[in-house]
Amino acid sequence: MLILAHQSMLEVSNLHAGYGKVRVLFGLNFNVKGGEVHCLLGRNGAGKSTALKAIMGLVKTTTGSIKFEDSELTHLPAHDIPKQRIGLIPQGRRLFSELTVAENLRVGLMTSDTPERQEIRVFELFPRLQERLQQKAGTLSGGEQQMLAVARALCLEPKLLLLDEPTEGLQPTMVALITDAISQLKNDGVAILLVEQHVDTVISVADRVTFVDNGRTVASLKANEFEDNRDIFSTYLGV
Amino acid sequence: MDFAPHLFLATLEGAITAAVISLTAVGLSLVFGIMRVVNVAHGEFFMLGAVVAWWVASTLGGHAALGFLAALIIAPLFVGLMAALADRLVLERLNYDLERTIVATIGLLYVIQQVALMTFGPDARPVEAPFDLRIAIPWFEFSDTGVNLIWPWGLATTGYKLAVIAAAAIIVTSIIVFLKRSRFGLMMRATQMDSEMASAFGIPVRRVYCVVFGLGAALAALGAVLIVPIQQAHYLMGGDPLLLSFIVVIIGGLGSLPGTILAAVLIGMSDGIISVFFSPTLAKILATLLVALVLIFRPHGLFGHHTS
Repeated sequence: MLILAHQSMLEVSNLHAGYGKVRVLFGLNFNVKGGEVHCLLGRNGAGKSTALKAIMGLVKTTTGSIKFEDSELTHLPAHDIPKQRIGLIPQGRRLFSELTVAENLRVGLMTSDTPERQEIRVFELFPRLQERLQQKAGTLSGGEQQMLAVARALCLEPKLLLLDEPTEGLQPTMVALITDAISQLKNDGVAILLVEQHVDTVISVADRVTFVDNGRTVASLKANEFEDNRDIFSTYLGV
Repeated sequence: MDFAPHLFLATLEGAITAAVISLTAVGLSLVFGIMRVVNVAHGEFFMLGAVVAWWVASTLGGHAALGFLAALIIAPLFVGLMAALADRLVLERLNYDLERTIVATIGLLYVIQQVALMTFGPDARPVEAPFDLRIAIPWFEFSDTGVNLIWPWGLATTGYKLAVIAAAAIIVTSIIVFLKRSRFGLMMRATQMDSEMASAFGIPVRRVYCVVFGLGAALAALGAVLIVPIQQAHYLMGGDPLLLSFIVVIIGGLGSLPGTILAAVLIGMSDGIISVFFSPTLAKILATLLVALVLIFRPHGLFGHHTS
């Protein structure tokens, strides 16, 4: 199905989720439109990462709905969600550290219908990875590991990409590289749901921001409203 | 017989133990490494393999090689399917929780053991080796005229024992190649490293677990089919392979395949040699002491990694 820009691609409604008996999300609501960069902002422990995990089926949803295009994701097992072409770049990268760069990419390509094309695209974006194919992922530098995490997710040929603090712990040159990659993906029509703590990064790339506090949606802003509402950033991020 | 040829013969016996233990221990190591399940019933899958091998060989009749070959295929397949069923019916429902699966596999141990006793009885059951080939081993003797080739009395083995060593080496190598080169092997290794991320990239983790549990049990059964023409099938025969497999997996490093194989050779050889010169009980005591030392000085084993 063709998803037009500005048409809702992901719809999260009244989402309640948590880890075992510990509830983290208490009725989260937001949507991501086709081709936009949507950012979830909030303090540590607000439930942003849990929201991404719930979308990927890695955290049990107790009530609520997560609709991607026409599919209800809460009914799907976790391993079927990447087949909907939703990619995840998790916090801390979580590469398969004992596997080589090539093997990490092969894992990413497992659900792809066009593995050769995706491989070429990934190496165009990150040519440095091509030089490290036989190196174990755990031995790469922090920046290279982040490139591999992005590349592995891109192998799924995602329509929607979930990024959990992709610039965490990176030096400024690498942050710029990742920010450029996000912009390039957006230009390619990939919708991006970004969890990020760096307000400057958010302001430079996001089309919309949803503020999350105590597992609930508390505010939402469009890009042209950022400057006039700096106080909201301060309130919910403490900056 | 002099000491040196005697030692050679003991080493050969040790190599057979090492060959069989490497198969059972690799099965146990895969299950623990990938699923984080301590399978206390692993020895019973070994026993079940031996008993089913006897049943297949005795039911088929005819030439010994025919019955043995059928057992070599049917017993691991049957045991693997039983284990996969146990995974689906028991372990998956316990969400692969470490503590609860230990209790569940203890239960499974008794169920398999008692069903085998009720079905096949308490007697030891022989399985004929597929071929009968006795090989006399030459030795060397130094004299004034140089090195002489001699044939000491009693220095001999069977072709079947050598075939067991070769078969185990081929199977273990095949498993390593399968893990390294195949698509499913990559799925297994990715699941071992981070099952949540494996799921996030479309790997059906529960299906991988089911196959791994079945494969682990099938490897134990395969080891049993190979050894049953030498040891006989009995419903209580699962204890020693379970103990030795745990010893090997702990020494080699939990979940480390190269460590498991090296430790299997080390423990199998020492078990064989000490059993021949002293007693099998002493061999088990020393192996258990070695585990205690490894746990004190290198808790993650020789090749294992620290895990959080």
